[in-house]
Amino acid sequence: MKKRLFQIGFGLVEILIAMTCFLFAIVPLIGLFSFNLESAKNLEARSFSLSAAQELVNQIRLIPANSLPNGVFPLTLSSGNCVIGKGKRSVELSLSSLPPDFQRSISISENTDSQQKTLSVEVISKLMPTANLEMSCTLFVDF
Amino acid sequence: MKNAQLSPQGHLQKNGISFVELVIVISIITLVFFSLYRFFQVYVLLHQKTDDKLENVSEAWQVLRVLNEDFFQADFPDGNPERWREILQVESAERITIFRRNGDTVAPVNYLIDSERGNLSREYCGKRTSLVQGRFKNLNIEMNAKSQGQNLFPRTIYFRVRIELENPRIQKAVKNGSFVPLKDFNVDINVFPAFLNQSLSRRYFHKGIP
Repeated sequence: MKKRLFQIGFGLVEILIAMTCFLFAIVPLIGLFSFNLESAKNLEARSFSLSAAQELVNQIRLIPANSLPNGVFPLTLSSGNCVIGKGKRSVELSLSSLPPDFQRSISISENTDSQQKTLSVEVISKLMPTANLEMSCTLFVDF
Repeated sequence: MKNAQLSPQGHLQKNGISFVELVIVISIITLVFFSLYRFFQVYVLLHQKTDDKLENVSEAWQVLRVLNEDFFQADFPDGNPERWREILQVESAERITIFRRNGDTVAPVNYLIDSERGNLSREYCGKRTSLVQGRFKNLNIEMNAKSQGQNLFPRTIYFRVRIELENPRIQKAVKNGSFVPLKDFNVDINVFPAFLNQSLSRRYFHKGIP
């Protein structure tokens, strides 16, 4: 008992407990940094998706709706010009370059009264699924 | 045992600390301080990395928004569709001019690039606005036209835009110490201005929708 009274400084167990507490405090902070960076990456990917979808919608809106083909068209090209549809109902689209993990597809469907068409553009990111985007709009058929 | 003496009870008592203890204590303190330094260094760099990414996205979209507005209002000099090639003029690496509608007239909008300082600004009707500061790398605008059959007059005009932004703070940090560099932020988009494409068939929005 006398010996314990004279003891000054920290013991090994105390140091280990202090270090464990310190680690418990630090680990969530490290997680917070990576979370911030991840959300910034996500924002970047979403901006790519949005620009790709907007580009296709604006482009297709300039084409008369009755000359658009109906169906689902996956756009395999990463950039350049591509043709969707066949024969008279074929349309050439210009695509800007996107990061390689992105894929875009177009879906055009005719409404039952044939006076409107629904255009849907889907952009999918393989690496960042939270950046996936679908943009739809209605096109009016001239008659 | 110079730093040891006998206590009144007859126990051997130590005065001060030995050399080995001193070395151990200094090593532990150095290790702890180095870990803390490294931790805060990584914290600051990650913060800068996140900040750079967010700023790049927001500034690129700001440039795109302004460009979209100018392309939407773009028109032929003298309102003559035959002069469609003159809408966009890339005079040098420092200046890009777009002709856009300003009321009843067509006025130029200049995009001024200062590649040394990394700045981009826009000049319209004598008013200059700064768009990007310190992180601008390159702006590339290319005009393309789609024609039908053998007709040389375009059916659709569109602009291929590429905006490149860099990360000045993180690049500086990479130069100073070992840290994973951050890729430049590039946006590619084809802009299809509706007003201009309507004007090709002599249908003008500013004269009322036909």
